[in-house]
Amino acid sequence: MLRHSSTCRIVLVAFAFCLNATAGELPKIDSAGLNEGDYFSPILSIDREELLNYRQQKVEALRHLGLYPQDYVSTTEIFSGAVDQQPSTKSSGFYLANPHLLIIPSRPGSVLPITYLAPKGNPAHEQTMQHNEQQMRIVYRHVSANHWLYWVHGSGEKIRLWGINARDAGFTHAMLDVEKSRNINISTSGNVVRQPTILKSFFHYGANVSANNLSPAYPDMVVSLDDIYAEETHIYIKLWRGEPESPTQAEDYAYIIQVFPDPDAADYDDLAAKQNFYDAPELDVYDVIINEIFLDFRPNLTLFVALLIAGYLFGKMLEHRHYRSIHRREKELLHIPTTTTWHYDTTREIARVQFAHGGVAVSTDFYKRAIAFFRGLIGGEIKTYSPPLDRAKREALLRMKESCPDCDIYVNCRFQTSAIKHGRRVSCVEIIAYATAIRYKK
Amino acid sequence: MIITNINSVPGKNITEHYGMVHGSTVRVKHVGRDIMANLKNIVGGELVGYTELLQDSRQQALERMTEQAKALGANAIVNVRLSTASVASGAAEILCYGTAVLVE
Repeated sequence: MLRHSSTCRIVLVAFAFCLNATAGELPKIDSAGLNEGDYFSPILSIDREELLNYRQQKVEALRHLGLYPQDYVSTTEIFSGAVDQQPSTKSSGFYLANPHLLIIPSRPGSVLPITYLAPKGNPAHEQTMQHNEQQMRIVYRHVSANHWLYWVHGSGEKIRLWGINARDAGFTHAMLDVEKSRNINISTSGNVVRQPTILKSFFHYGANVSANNLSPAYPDMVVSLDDIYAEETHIYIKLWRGEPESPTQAEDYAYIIQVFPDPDAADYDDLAAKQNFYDAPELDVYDVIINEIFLDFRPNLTLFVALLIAGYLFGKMLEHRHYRSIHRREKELLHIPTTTTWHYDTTREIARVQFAHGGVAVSTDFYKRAIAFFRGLIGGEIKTYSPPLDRAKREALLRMKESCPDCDIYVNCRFQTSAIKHGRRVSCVEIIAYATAIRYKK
Repeated sequence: MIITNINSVPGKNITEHYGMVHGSTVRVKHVGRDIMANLKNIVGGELVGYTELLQDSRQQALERMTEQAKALGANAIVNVRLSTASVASGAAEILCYGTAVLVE
């Protein structure tokens, strides 16, 4: 499997939120509820019961934040897909352990958290969190929004927003507040962000990975940045605990993601600086697989060239082998005359007359087909198709002869070629040879 | 039953003609064979599964033609022709036809 070693590696990049918030207007979070170790806790192979207990504890520890309902129980539908004794992907473990992160900004095809990718100890990574009864703010500082929201995730310049913890906290509907957001472009989005979205992210087992996983294929909202170096970026998400009567209804809670880069933040946006920015922690193998193989797989030039070479080499080898066999068998049967006329020795008595037939279905290799395609652009003879058809005709003739090997002459021998089509393209060619086999009395 | 693809039956005289007889069958290959054939399309060469299928079909078409000739009271079929045509995606019709005759 791709980058399998990374699963074995102990991840040293757990990064704590800096809780000493700088701004004064909102109270900072009591650090007693958020221990550093909790920020990154992959949960491996425990029973579903234990997993739910773990979640319950994490939520209890944050009770004072008032995010979750007082009667919260972890057996909500969000976690109904968790399976006994199965590992969790690292990112799903992370969000399980950090129930206060209501909305997950992440890259396409993955739910990898920013916090996980931005390692501890680099002063460029300052993440703070502020909250009160009406809102929670996650603030990223120093480097540009391009870094925090695009590069850190290695994304295709889209910010996908999932609401797994928001859903679990009892918020059923979310909507991007376009007026209160800044530097956010919703025009590229395929999702409806002008209407309240029903939060649907959930926790499930399996699909492409054998693990308890989030469902990254269905983001609740998708946005992008207007200006990657903007002085401030705000993603303002309104959350409701029930269906709002209108999009303008006051939210029950606001979740705000903010980026304030330093004035010289653009300096970070070259490749070398990116290397320094985060010293490339290996990605969670599951996330990589989902992102690069299952969602992003598409035919490419490398595959084409590989097939071309494989087709050429194997095709050549098989052709060579087949011709050797044809030559040997043709020699064995050469003593029996084969004609396309009806003439036979009428002076001799006939012992037996038989209908001899043989056929073969052949296809040509990828290399030859590619050459033929290019030839088709300019017209002319497709030389690469001659050998396979020649082989097939001779093989069919040999099979015809081998079907009645003990006769003295084959008369009125005929070939017939037909293409077996598959959709619009020809998938193979069948060649039949047939004749009348005559045996004289000895 | 003697089958030839020439106008006569060598060594025998035709005493009676019964007219044209034919047999046909339409076959599709199954998915497994299809997958293998797709792989084979990369390296080229014979598609063994298809060959077998077409061989079986031809045999069946010939048998059907023979049945028809027998029903007419013939004991030979002359001037037999085979043909294969692609009638639908991945499906092939195998047809054989000839003239039923009585020989002695």
